[in-house]
Amino acid sequence: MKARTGYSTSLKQEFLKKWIKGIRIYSNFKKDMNILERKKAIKLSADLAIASTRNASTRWSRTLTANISKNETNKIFVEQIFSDSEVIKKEAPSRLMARSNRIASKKIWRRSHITQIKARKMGPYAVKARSIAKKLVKNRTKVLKSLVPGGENMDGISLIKETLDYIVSLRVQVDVMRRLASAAENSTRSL
Amino acid sequence: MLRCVAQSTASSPEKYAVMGMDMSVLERQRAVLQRLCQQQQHSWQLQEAANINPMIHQNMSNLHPAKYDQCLDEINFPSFAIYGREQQQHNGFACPELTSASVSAVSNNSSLTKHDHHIDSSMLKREGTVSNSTRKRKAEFDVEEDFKDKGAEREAGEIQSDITVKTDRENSTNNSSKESIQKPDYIHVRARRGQATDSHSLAERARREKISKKMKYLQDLVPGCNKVTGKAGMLDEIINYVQSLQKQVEFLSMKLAALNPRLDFSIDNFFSKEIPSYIASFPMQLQVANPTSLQYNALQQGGISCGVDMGMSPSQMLPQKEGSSSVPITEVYHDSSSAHQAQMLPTWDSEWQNLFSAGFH
Repeated sequence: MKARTGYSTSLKQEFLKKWIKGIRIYSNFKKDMNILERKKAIKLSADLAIASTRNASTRWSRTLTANISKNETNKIFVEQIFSDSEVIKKEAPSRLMARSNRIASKKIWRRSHITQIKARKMGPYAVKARSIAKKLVKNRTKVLKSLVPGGENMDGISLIKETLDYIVSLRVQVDVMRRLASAAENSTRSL
Repeated sequence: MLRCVAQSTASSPEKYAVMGMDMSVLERQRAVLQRLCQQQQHSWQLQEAANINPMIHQNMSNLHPAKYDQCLDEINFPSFAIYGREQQQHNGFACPELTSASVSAVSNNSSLTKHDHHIDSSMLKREGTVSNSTRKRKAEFDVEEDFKDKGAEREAGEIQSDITVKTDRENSTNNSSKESIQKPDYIHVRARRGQATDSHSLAERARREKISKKMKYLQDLVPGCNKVTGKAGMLDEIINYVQSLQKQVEFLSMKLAALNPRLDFSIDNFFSKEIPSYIASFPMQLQVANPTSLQYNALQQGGISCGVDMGMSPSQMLPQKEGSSSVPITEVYHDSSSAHQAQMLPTWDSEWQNLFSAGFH
């Protein structure tokens, strides 16, 4: 238990440092932002910071950074932040397309055959129940894939792994942000 | 210890009599030792007796001198088997180190040719009387080293087989087929009774097991997931949780933007009154005095501010700082504000480390 809390503490520190650094750089770029721009800046640097704590080892962190760098103005900002650290790469989309095609055709074959076999074995109601359950699961995995950045072309196992990691990082992010917000709130309140 | 020694003395003659019993650790070790001794005998029989004898003496002289003669008698007397039983009881209590040393000496020396077997067997008998704790002390001797290696190997093998057995057990109760290859990169799956045994379904099953294992981790992570069973429900909870976390991030960033009109997250803001409340929001047992001392340390180290120099005039800074030793802070702030930001970074890092190592524990 002690090792785990130590790890999350160092993660929080790392995130906080990178986040504040990002905010500073952003505000050096653009002075006098309105509230929406400020919020965007804060969120952007927070996302970048939490993605960089993974050092591009996970899919979601890479996708997150890539999505942020898609915007041209952000790109310069991103490069400034990461001038001292890792390079951001994007996976080739063609490979993923071929894979999803192959998977789709295999799934169609399997679906047609397996429902036949199962209908013979089990009786129609069980088959229907099972197919309903599968449909539910499938829908929900689709939603989860849309939530987790970079989750579109992943299979079930890696999706769950990525989700685990993503949830941990999100929790760290929310925790640090909440504390900073409460501290800032207290500071303004006491004035 | 006395009790177990007595027990083992009582049972040791029977133990040797019965072969093929289920092997306890003791017997297994004994068997290995026997094998080792025999091996060493074969290798050592080439050497002369004269070389060995001084070694025995040397070994013996390390021991208690009073037992030395006794030990020598034991080794040199071939009529050991008769001698054995009394000695067992005697030596089991008296000198465990002696027995261990004598065992090693005997096994090292194989040139006492004819009676070696007798000696070894009786030595082993004696060994049987010694309790397990004393056996551990024998680790220092040469024989025991080899013996330990073998034991470790065997243990590793057993552990491996345990693991494969466990994975098998996870997958079924009855078995109808099994992959027979024992390579470590193969996943061992047992097909359940009455289920398809072709490789596709086995692979499917392995994949499903993996997924369910990962879902268990997620169950621990996501609050409220243990009440729901089944993949669909858990996925639902996970989705809700991720969505709520993302919305929280949005909300908090909006809040921070509203609170800080100039996006200055400088430590100075935190160092006046609100340090106690800020620190108090962390679950830990730091005294309130500590943060202020931290603050002073940071000041003395120079270059505290990490704030953004956004045209913040000194007059604006001063009203924010009330009721604290704000004057030195502002002075330091002014000094550092003229410094390069690159220089601020390393000191800023260390200050953040200080503060949040205290704060986050």
